[in-house]
Amino acid sequence: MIVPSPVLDIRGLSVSIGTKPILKDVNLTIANGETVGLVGESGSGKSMTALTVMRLLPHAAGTSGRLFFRGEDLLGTSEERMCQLRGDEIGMVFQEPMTALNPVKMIGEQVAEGIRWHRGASRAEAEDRARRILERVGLPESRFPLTRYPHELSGGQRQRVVIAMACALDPKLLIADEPTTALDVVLQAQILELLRELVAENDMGLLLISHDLGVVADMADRITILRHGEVQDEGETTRILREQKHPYTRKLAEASTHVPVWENAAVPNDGKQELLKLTEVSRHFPGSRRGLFARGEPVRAVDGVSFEVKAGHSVALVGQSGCGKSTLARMILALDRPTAGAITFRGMETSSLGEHELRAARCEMQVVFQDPYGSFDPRQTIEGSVTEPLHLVDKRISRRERRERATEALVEVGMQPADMHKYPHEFSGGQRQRLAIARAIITRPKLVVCDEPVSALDVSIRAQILDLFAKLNDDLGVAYLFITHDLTVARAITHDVLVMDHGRIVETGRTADVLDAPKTDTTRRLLAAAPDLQRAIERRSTALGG
Amino acid sequence: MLFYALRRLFLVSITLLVASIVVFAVLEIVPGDPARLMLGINATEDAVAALRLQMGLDKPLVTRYFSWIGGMLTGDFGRSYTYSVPVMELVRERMVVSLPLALLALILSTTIAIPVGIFSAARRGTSADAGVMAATQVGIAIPNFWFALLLVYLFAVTFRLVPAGGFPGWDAGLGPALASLVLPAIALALPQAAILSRVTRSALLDVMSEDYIRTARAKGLPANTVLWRHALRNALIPVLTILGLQFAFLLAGTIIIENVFYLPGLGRLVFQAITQRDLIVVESVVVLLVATVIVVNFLVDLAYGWADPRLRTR
Repeated sequence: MIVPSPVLDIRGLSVSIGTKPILKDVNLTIANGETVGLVGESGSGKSMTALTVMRLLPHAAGTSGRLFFRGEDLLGTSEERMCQLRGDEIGMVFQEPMTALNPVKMIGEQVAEGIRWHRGASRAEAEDRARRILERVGLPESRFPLTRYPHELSGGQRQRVVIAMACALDPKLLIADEPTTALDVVLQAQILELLRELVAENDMGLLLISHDLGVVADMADRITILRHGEVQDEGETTRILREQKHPYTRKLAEASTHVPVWENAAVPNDGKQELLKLTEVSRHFPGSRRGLFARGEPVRAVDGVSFEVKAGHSVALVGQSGCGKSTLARMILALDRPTAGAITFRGMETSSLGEHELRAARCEMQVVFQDPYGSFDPRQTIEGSVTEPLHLVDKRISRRERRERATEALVEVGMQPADMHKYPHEFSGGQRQRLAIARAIITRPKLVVCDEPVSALDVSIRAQILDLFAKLNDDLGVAYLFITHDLTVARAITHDVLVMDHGRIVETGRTADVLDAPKTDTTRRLLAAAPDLQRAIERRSTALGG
Repeated sequence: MLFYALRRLFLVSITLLVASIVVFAVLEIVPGDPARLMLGINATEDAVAALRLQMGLDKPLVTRYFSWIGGMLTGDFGRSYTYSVPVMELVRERMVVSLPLALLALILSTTIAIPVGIFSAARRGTSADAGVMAATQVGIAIPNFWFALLLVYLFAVTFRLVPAGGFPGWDAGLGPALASLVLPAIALALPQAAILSRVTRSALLDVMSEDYIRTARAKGLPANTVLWRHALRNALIPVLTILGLQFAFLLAGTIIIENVFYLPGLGRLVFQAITQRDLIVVESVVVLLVATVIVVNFLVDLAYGWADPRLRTR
């Protein structure tokens, strides 16, 4: 009997850069038509595994072990042979769709390039094939001509182009490295569905890399869990997730469904002082140019939004990317002015105040951004960055007092006072997000606006940061406005939720009520798309039982 | 793209207008009477008064500006005081030397710099890269007039390949005319090429670490093909910026180089006009040089639009 050799067969793979081991004795196989989930936290070696298969590791990297692609040992083969395989038999999709495409080339050109390169096809033939594959991934030529440039497409559309490029020549193996991490939940569900269909159509093997068990739970036939470059647990998805035998698997599963324990969680909504009030707030942007003088219809980024936030309350603002969440947040933070309507913060109408009068308001509201890497000045010490908001405080603050307040803020977010003399690059993503929170609470604000504060973090770090937010609400009574597309976050840390769609608030209420019994399609769509580990396990179990 | 170009053109006209006002104002506001300044301290009152009348200094400031700028636009640059010929004529005969020289230098510096930059970037960290970068460091450090003398000594005096200086005129034929421009062009171009190749190299290396380069590699293109097809055009944007800025230095460089090689160009004209206090010539040539720099930067802006589609829609 001939046993069909798997598409990918990794045996005892070890990778090191210099003397630093990256992967240790990794084993992994993928059969035709099979999806294998590779799960682990950042730094666990997931991406390195993918790059090793593609042979695109940095030059300094050393490898040992065997790596067979359809029986051919890739570690021993020549670079020319790898160039033949890449993009033809092995395709790869990357995490960040915004930067994965060449900004100066049209999408048709970029998809056709690989086809011409590998098949020696003429321009017309290659474009014809590019047209078909783009249509297949949901970018029909009638709406997305081949002459579009990447900047004319949204993140989800760009990821479709990247998938089209990877799948243009029907590869036998597709490697998708966090393909949906940068997208909102609805787009994530669409992209995952597309990948699932492509796997079925072409009988290809898919290596799906993710930090989120919930994402792979629905997709993968088998799961391999990686930590510090070593395989912790691996096997059939249903079994791995149902039994959760390995302690690390259990830890990951718990972290992805973590809900902080929180004293203020049950505080009733009424009887509290009003903190922030929006009345019919709109922000319209002029339409794009149609000619020298003509302009298109104005874009209604935010359209007649009214709501209020009470002191000490935590409110979620959820919606798909592009729904106007961030524009609304910018206006609340007085970084942008509404074209109509009024914003009142602690009795001051911030939407009509000048920069000087706004100082008092700015002191009372702070912000935490999504990207803990981009939001720190790399050349300033942590003390400098964390104490920066103190210049908003009216009275002069002595050097000693600054230092005391920095110490206090660092301790409150679970960091060491000595950390203030270090620089941002000395900290991990989770630590930096703690520092960003320390910076936000140092002026003792009444409101902190958090723009996707945990979506760039690993699940276990995310759980810790959510705990921190809960603790600070208990300790300091600070109100939150959480901007997120992640309903798990909303459920974990907020009292009320505002669901936004196309610039309007379409549904509001207590978070649990809205998420348990959604009344609008927008909310239902968000809920259906959200990866939910528990639901995925149940679904798999019933499928097995039936 | 058309809209982008029109908007740039509008901005260029504004810049030119402002620049002309500044040049005019500087020469007007400087203390002292321009006529006396031109004639020197020993001139008689009568001579000064006559020159004032000739220069139209008795009329109000605004009228003078408009007649000056109006003249400029219609090609009437006024009469040179020292040469007693229309400035336009002077400029025209000098331009046919300076413009080819500047263009030659520009072409030379880009055709040297961009391949060198690509070569270095593609061999990053090798001894070839280190050698090229050391050479460019020397190229930046050497003053161009000294380098010019070295070239003269080597190619004109020792090997007698090209003339050491002077310009036979285009009437003497393309060969001799170009031969007398070769050394000055090299002297101008090499220091510029040194800077430009370093910029090309670092811009390319920046681009090579971008995500879309990895995407292109994942498509199966070999590293060198990726560099040519995907990295180069993206790296051109900083290179174009430096090229535009360098053009101004190139023009300033011609003043020195034309003097070293005894070339009857604009640089030499403006140098002589300054020493002879021929303000009318100085004013005209300066405005001309300013206009050239602005126009070149307009062309650079258009090239940006070609290189980067994202700029067109903005």
